[in-house]
Amino acid sequence: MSRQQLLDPSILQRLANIELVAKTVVDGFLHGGHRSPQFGFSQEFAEYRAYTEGDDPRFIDWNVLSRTDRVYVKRFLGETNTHLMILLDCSASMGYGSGETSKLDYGRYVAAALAYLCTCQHDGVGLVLFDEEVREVRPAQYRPRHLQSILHVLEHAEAATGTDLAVPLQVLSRLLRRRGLVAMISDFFADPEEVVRSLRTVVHQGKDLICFHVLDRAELDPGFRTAALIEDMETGEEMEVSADFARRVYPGRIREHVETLRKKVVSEGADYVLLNTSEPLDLALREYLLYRLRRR
Amino acid sequence: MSLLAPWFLLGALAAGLPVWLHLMRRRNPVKLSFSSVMFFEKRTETTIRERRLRYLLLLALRLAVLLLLALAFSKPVWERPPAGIGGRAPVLHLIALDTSLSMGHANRWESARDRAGEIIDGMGTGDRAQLLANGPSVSVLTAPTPDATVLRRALESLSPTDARNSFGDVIEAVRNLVGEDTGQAELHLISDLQNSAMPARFQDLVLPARTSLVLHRVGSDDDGNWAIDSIRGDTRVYGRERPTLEGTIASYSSEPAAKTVSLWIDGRVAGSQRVEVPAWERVPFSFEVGEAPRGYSRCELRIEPADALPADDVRRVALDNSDPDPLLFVAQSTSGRDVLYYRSALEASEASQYSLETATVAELGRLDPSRYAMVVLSDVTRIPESFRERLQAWLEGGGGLLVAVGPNTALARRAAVTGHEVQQPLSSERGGERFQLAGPAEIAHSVAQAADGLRPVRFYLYARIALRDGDRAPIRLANGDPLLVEHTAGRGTVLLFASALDNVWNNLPVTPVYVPFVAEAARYLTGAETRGADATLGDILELGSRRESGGGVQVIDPSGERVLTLSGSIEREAVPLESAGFYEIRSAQGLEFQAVNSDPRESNLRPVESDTLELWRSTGEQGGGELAAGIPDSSVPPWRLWRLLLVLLAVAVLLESLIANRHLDALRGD
Repeated sequence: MSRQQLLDPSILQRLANIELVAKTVVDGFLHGGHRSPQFGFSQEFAEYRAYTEGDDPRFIDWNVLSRTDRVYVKRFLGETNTHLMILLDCSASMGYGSGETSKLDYGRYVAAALAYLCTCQHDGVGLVLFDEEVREVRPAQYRPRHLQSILHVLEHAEAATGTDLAVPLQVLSRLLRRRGLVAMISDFFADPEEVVRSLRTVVHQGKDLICFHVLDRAELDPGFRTAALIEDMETGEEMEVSADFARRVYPGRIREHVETLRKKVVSEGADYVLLNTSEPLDLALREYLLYRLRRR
Repeated sequence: MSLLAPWFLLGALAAGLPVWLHLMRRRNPVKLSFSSVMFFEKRTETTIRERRLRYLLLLALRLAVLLLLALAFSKPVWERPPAGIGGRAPVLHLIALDTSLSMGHANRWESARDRAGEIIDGMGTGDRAQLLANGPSVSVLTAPTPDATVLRRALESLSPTDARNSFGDVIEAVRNLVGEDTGQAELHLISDLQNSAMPARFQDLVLPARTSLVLHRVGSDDDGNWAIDSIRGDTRVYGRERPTLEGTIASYSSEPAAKTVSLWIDGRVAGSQRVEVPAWERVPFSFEVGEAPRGYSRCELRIEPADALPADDVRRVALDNSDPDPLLFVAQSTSGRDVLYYRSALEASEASQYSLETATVAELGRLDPSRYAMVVLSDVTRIPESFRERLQAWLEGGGGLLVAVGPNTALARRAAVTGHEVQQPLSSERGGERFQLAGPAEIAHSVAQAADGLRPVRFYLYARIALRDGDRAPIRLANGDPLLVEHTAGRGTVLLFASALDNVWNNLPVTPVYVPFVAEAARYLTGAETRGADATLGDILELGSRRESGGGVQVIDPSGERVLTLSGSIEREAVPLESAGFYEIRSAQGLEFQAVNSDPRESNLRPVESDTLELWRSTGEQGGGELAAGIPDSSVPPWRLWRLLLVLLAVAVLLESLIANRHLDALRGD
């Protein structure tokens, strides 16, 4: 089985154990010619720089000074001990899936992969499951057994009712007081302005936020060939929609929504990743790692 | 394939209904769960472009049901190839040969016969022919036969007659001959196509279905003709000093001509004169008859020498130089005013062919009524029984009786001989005046017509006559009471006059209508009305008035043949006059001649306009031609497809039910 296939959601769907899913995803992603995560998150030497006034004298390389009579300071790759808080939306709309994999399944895989990846990097990881209210909370910790706890919660996560993005963020501020990473996995079926208003608190607290916007392929392009009576999975509202509208108008509207949300999220200093449930999960991991590097 | 009722195809428009239903029907859309409806809008499909036809198989079956139904009602037929060789259907050739008088012109008859022969010889395989002769009436000479020998034999037996042609009669006969099982027919009309043969209504020329018209004209437009087309004058020559006959010679030619006309009496030339006849003109001429032999004579006016059509160069009339017919007038007194007035009126009438004898009731015992042409009973009541019996027998044998009521009849309450009930004389009152006028009269009755319904007469007294079954009242008073009653007794006729013949009960004898009333009543009762000096071919010769004595009547036609058999001479009431010439009528009253002339319209050879002929031919193309194309031959009937269509319709309905049921189950979620 190729590496890419290991990241395919439809194949991951067949794996019953979410820990196995997480390992499969991360190992599949890290296998091969990528930079080692140890390179980025250990205290290894990175470069020399000429000493300037104000530099910490603890980082002066005395060996070089003695040999060359020049003062250089040693630079390292940075701090590696951080925390990742994963916020997973378990609202009813996340239960939608036009194929074998629902958005919630996809979100769970992403969350599990991130948790596994963080654990491998000795970072603390926490989890909040929410819909209209917070369903499950696992504070960010780095302990060997903690990952199992998170994976257990993810394994039993089910789509419930509506969505309120403000609720988990309020809990988050209580759970993660120090700086850290926050990954919110949701379909963001809400007003972008309202979403950003909720996220703004997190960003202002100095936390680095990355929004994984999970959408099903059918949500991007329903492709109705006939008129349909659609039922909102969260509100139960029914609406008759013509095929012409679904083909011609709806795709534009959802693209506009995605673009608006992306701009607003980025403008607030957060990062935004659109995930299509029909695509492999490596995009999410890659975006996370890049983001992790950028915030060093 | 053709359609017998193509208008039913309009029913196929109903096929639009299922299309509309499948396209426009509001349907129940499929219910789908979706993550969020926040980017959707409620919008139903409003334009045709947005709609799609669904359930195509069901729609196709429904369309098929409707189209098959419409097609079945339009009665499609599939024309099978006819049995004829080379795909040509057998044809019935109706050869109508004009045998009218005008066909005797020059060599027209020979040309016509040759043309008929060519048609017989040109018949195709499977064709049949039938020969018709038109004149004096249309006679069918053969049954439809493919045998040329039979047809030629019938053709050889034909010759021109003196009759008049009528295209309407030909078409009428063809309509009777062409039926459903005849197949396609072709009418070959071989004629000189005279315009005078056209019927009054063009509608009578319309050809029957499956019949086409082929015209074979003989003769040419340049053919000229002259004819004596009328004869009139003093045909009753008895007692006239200088009887005169007048005739008219007509030109039907573009060339003026001088013609010699002669008067022939009993085969001898009695006079001759030269007449200048301009082109297309009619010129009168006259002859003094001179001394005519006693009895009836055969008189002819002739053009000499004869032209190309000799049959119309002669016109005949019978001259009557016999003794006057005796009439018996019976009155209370032979010197009464009724006798005086009646005799004067009879003698004053133009046709003084009667001699009046008078008698009183007392003298009747010695008289034989059969000696008289007519008997008048003027207010007579007590008739000797012996005379009454003889009178009754004579009357029932065909005699004529005029009965006038008066004071005596009114007192007796019964009319003489007939026994009609007569009421008391009534005083006539009309408003403030003491007389009654005549009221409505039967215009068709010759007596009422001649006397102008007795309108100017004032009737001061009259007796109301009770009508019996079969009686008629040709003239009535203004109050509706009968004034003149006609009663039939056997073959005889009785006229009952409800007032007197003198000038006491009315002023009839002193009014201008008295003379025509008396003269026409005499002619009517003696049967002279039915005897004309000349008749036209096709008229009817009445024999009833010639049997007054109860004896037989024999009629001999112009060719010398007896017309009536022995029994017919006793029983026949009338004889058709079918030949031009003189008919001899032999009866107890003696020898009598009846002149018969051809129809003068036959002399005009002008042909029918070509436009009219073309129009006539087109009636065959419209009414017969198209149908003939649609139904080639009864022997190879077309396939009628409606049964097959009904089977297909039943299958389509069955399939439609099954498939519709499946869709219905799917919608119900079964």
